Amino acid sequence: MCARCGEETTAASFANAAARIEASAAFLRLQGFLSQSPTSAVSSLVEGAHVPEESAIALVLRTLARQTATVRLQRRFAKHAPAFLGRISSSTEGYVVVTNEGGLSIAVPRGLARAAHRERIGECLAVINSHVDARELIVRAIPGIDVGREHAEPYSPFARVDGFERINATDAAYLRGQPEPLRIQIPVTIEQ
Amino acid sequence: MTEPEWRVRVASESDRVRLAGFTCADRTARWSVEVEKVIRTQLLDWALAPGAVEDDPILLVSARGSNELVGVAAHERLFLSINGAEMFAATKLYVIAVSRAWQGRRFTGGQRASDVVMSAAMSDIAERAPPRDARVYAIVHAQNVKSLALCRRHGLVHELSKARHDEYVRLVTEHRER
Repeated sequence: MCARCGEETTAASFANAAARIEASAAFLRLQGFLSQSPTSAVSSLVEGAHVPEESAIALVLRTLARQTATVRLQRRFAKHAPAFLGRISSSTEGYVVVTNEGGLSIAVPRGLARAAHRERIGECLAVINSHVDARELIVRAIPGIDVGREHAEPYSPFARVDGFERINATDAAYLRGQPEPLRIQIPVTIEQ
Repeated sequence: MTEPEWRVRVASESDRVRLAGFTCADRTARWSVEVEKVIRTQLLDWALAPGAVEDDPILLVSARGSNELVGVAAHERLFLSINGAEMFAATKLYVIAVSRAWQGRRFTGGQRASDVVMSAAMSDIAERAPPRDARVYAIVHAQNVKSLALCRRHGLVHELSKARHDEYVRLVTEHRER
């Protein structure tokens, strides 16, 4: 994505981050598993088919997913992440509704979700939108991996928010008011 | 007119070593150590990242005579929202930190070092174009009483609902009822 946009430095950083993950013990375990599995099993895994939750390969995939998520949320990469990540919150015959952690929802054609092996409520799905031009959009559904809340990163006030910082209705009512001018107690000149 | 006893400038790549040695943490408090760690290891990368470099600067406050680093301030633009439908543009005070050597100290003119660092951030926010000074927002650990007091002195007086973690308080600048 960054290379296509001509952002060489960020593309190189992405590649370096990927190389670090690919050198990790979890990735080596994945390689070992794939090399010993029949082609059909490998294809199935790559396409996002479900594996038993407590199997060794599921644990490896969750580890890699967590490592990838940690990289993705870094500020230098976050602005280049076009994916919408969420869980399927409801579905109809024609589409599934994917809702992210911030409560934002989008509808995804059911055929795309099915192709990603994710169409049941609660399953994780990523959606990547690539604009071709102002009137054309390529939508790609990617199977998500549930890393499990017990493995979630501890809270940090420095963590990057995905889209927006969540508030409640009382907060919103307050913020609809007229902001007071900022208080600048000490005159400061910033040298350029 | 005499010059102030401090200088404020925007950090650049050449400040990497200086920031890597910045010390502000109370070693007994995990949340305080986290601030120092972020300044030392992540802040400059984030501020100089493509797309962030113009919007989200790091400001360095140093003593004019000795060039000693007094404090670090960084801010970034973000949105506050319930569900993405109604977005409130805001500026987050990402980091406001005073070095260990300057904590609790004043310049000879009487200004607190912490107030100068905070004023640097607020001035930069106020001068941004397009404007981004409508709402200023900060997340502060509930036990960090000095930072809570600093925020309140500079107008972050309203407490929003709790962050995802109960140990932290979210403060925002004051709004009047329309």
